Amino acid sequence: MTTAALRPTAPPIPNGILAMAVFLGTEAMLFAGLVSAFLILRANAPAWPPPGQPRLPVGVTGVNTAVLLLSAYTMERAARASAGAALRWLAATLALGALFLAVQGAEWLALLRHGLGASASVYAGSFYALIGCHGLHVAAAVLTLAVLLASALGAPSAETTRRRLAACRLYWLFVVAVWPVLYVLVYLA
Amino acid sequence: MTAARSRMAVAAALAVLAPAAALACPVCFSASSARTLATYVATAAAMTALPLLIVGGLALWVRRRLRTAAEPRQSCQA
Repeated sequence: MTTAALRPTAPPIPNGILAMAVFLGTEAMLFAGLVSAFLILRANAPAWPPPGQPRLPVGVTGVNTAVLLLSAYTMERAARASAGAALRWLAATLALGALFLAVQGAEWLALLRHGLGASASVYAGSFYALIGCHGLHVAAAVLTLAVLLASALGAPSAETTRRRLAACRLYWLFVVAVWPVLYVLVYLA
Repeated sequence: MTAARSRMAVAAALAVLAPAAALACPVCFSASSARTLATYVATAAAMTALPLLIVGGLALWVRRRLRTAAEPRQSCQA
């Protein structure tokens, strides 16, 4: 037996990527469950949104949707760029994610001021559960990206950064892909 | 025909002739309108199909990656 035969080979799918793919499968089920509950609550309601409840800001959230979609583009550029440029694209992605969260936060504060608290109605409760769950995911993605950026600036090997970025990219793209579905269902439909 | 087969035939005939008594969905029959019923059915179908699609998609992806990784090794051995 030669030493080459004994040398461990790299797995065809890196462990981090495989773990992230399985994790995203469970996340997809979480969102599918929440969307199903939302649709059933809406179908059972005599009027949706109920009379007297504030309407959701469709225009501002539409622009915010574009911001999040743009962040998917910058993340893709980061994944394909060389080491130095990748950090700049990652910083842009982080900024766009943070902007999305800030606008969402401002929107929620305005809704709360107009009396749409989480316990105001089934409409309000399902809105905060669904959109809040997505907001938490975006916050987690922004935090993960910030940690990745900080660790990349600490000069680990280029291969380590690329591996981490690949897993981070999958999560980010998932979070971005879920949002248009929620926007159409909750804000437009 | 044995007694067990006769019982199975009667049960099958009942299931075919009296489908209302064989409803398995705990919420569908309580739907107040056609729209609600359609939503129940659609969400139940989606929640049933999604895990199968996810696991199936994941398995296909892993299989394709394994095949792609094996190709250069096979060509080297040839």
